[in-house]
Amino acid sequence: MTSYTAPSGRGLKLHTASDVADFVAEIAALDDLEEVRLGGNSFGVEAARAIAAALKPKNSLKVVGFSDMFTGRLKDEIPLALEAFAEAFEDKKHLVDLDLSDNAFGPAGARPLMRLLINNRHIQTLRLNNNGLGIEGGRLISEALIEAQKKNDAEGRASALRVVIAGRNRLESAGAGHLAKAFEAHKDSLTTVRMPQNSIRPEGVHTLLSSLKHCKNLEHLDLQDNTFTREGSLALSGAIPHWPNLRVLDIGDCLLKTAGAGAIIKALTPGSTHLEFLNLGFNEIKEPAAALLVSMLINKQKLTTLQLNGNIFDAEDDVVASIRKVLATHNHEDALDELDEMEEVDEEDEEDADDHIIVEHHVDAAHEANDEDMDELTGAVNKLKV
Amino acid sequence: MADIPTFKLVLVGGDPAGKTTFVKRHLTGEFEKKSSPTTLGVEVHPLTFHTNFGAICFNTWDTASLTIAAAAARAAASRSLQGQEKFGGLRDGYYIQGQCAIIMFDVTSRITYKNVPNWHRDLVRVCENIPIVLCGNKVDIKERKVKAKAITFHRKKNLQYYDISAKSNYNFEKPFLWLARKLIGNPNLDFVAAPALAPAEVTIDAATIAQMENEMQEASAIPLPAEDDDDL
Repeated sequence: MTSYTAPSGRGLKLHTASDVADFVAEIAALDDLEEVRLGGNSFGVEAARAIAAALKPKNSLKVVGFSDMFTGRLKDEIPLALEAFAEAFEDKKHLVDLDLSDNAFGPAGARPLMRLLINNRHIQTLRLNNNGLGIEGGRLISEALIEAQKKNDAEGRASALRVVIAGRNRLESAGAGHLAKAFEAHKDSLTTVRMPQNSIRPEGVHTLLSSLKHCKNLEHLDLQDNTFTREGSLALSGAIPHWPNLRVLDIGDCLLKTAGAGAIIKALTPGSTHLEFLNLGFNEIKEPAAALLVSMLINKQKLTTLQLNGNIFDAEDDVVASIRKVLATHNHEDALDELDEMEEVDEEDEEDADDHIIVEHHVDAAHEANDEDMDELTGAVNKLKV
Repeated sequence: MADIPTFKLVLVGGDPAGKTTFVKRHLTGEFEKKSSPTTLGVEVHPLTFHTNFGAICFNTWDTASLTIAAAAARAAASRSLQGQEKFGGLRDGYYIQGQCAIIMFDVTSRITYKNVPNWHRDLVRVCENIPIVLCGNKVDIKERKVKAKAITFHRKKNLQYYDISAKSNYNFEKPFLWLARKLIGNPNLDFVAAPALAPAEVTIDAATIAQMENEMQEASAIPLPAEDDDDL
């Protein structure tokens, strides 16, 4: 692949067209440029426009790595720079991977991107991590993605969008709700959604999952460090049966608690056999929910990472030994992480309903059809008791 | 403005800890924009408090933590690559001549608490021996992930700690009062008039406040866990 990577890590401050004359000349000389990476330097408006003009004729572009490009730039400079890039990239038919992460552009930066997202419907991977999007930025991105799908529909074209990464963006519940609609619009193509650390609260998690459950090809979901509690956990457990290809589920630091984790583990038990990675760390999970993992793990032959650290049970508990034993039957005895930050079980702590497994809860109609599988699993677990 | 004692206060912490919300509660702290790109585009809010020893002003520096974190990350990468820090200037411009600091995290995000040692290390590298307050923000939110007993960093580093809630104004003045006493060097300093604050957007009931204060009290009595690493 013909690729151009600007010398990064030098933190160059590039203001004018002459500041970037070398970059421009080098880019111009690369006829079949497929990949361009400029991250780690800071571009002013004029410098960005010169780069955009140099990239405009590069119709072979596939990968644009523009993370961390605007350190120290002002709020009114960045949208102008982004506008120039959007204009340069909107007609690039081979562009599949766009990375704008670690640019603190906020909602003001989301607006110029709308044009790019509406007009370039070839992008498969959209990386908008750590952009300070906020609720309004989430709304604008969502609006553009929905508009793009309307155009796809009108042309009888399938969506190309497979991966959306929007972690650490202050989206909150409302912003997550906006993006949920976009995910639903692209439900047939999406395989990966990563939105960790967005201050999404239980009602927002609920809304998000009500949309994501329509994304039947979902393989990778990362909602780490948001807040689920019972409401979000039940929404997730209802969605899980709709994702037969689920490989990665990262819900660490989500305050699932015992009730929520129990419901999720039960939902993962009958199917989800492609699961490779499960993070349930730091979720205030007590032993009764951890115990459910033993039967859940029996058909998880591909699971190579199970994170349970930071929960509320003893690392020496029998249940941990049982979990290790099942993992060992799959030759993945090292899958379980080190349980070195477990919280002590404090008998004096006040307990609430979320500290117990929910007994009477039918996760989803889809599960009832799997009762026979469950019986089989229960039988298998009984044989496996340590 | 009359010539009153003025101190540079550096406000740091993981995004979104609520630093900007916090600093904007103080209604008379009209901020001025430092608009030169070389100074990162920080906002400086002069926050004035009236004490029994006269007025005191905190020039409070606030910036998007991702800006400064990105600079710090590059500095770290650069250090590891070349054994020296090339971007120190960018980040240090924010810290330099800081006379006191608030490190803020979000009690609903354990990761922001995990990052506190990094902010502290960065800060004291530039500003040695300045008074520092650690603040756990958003205590108004019912689903708290960082519990009182888990907050131990301030005890290891001799910082002051306060639970705060920017949206409800809970404990807004506490960090400033503690810093003022340290900077003036008089434990008898008190605020004599409350600053004008934006009206509370949420309220925390008295019982919850009593419970939080009780938990903090109990936590301070628990011996520190014997950990040999400097971080958490």
